[in-house]
Amino acid sequence: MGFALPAFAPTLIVFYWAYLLAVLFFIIVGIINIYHLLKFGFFSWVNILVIAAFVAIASCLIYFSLAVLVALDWNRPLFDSGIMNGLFIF
Amino acid sequence: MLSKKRLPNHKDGEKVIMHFWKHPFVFFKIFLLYFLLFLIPIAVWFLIQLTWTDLLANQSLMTILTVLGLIYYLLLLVFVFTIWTFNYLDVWTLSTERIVSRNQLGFFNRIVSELELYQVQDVTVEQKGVFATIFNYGHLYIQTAGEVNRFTFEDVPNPLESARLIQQLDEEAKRCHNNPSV
Repeated sequence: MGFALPAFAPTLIVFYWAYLLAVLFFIIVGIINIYHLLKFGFFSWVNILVIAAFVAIASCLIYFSLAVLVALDWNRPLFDSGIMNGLFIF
Repeated sequence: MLSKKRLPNHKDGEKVIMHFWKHPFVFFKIFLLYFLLFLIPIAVWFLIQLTWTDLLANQSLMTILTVLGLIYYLLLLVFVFTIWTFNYLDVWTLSTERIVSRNQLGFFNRIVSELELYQVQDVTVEQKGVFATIFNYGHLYIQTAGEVNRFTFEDVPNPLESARLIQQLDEEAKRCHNNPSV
């Protein structure tokens, strides 16, 4: 009696998950920063402009990066024997 | 957001004279460092294009490099914003009656302390380094007789003029404190 473990071949999707984790961290820390600036910062143009600039740049960066990542093929195997081809020339 | 004209436990007749932030050059130095960090992946990309052209043909490796590059830029942006927050929220406020120091040490870690101007014993200015001398910024140390023995204004602009202003206000505060009828 025995059972066979299902074949598990990790694909590049693990990097996509890593990216999503980084986005989650980015959003949480960004919100904490904005909270501090709104609660303890002065009501001034500098403060408002910096918050607005961060939100605008962050939105553009996330939108752009998601647009780039969606176009990639995530089903390639992670352990590709040819992954280092061309990196080292002996 | 806080009003620039209000202080914690605002007293009747108390007027805010000025707020001190770190000199803009201090912020510029930090942003310059992060700008150099911003350029590193771009430089690496050009280096790969020049030396390892075969590498660009490997789709899997390009995918990994793209993801790592994007994660790098996300983290860089959030670190710049965090450094800005910590430095911008370090504020020292001078009013007609007291000095209020607000220091942001980290997330959810903030110290607010104050001292009455009549408690000021000594004001010391320290301008150290080439840039501090050229751009006229430095540390201002205020020795007091209060609970917090020494207040430090870090890298504030025009420290000499600021020290003179604090001494003037200190003399007035001492006069008023000694003769409340004045």
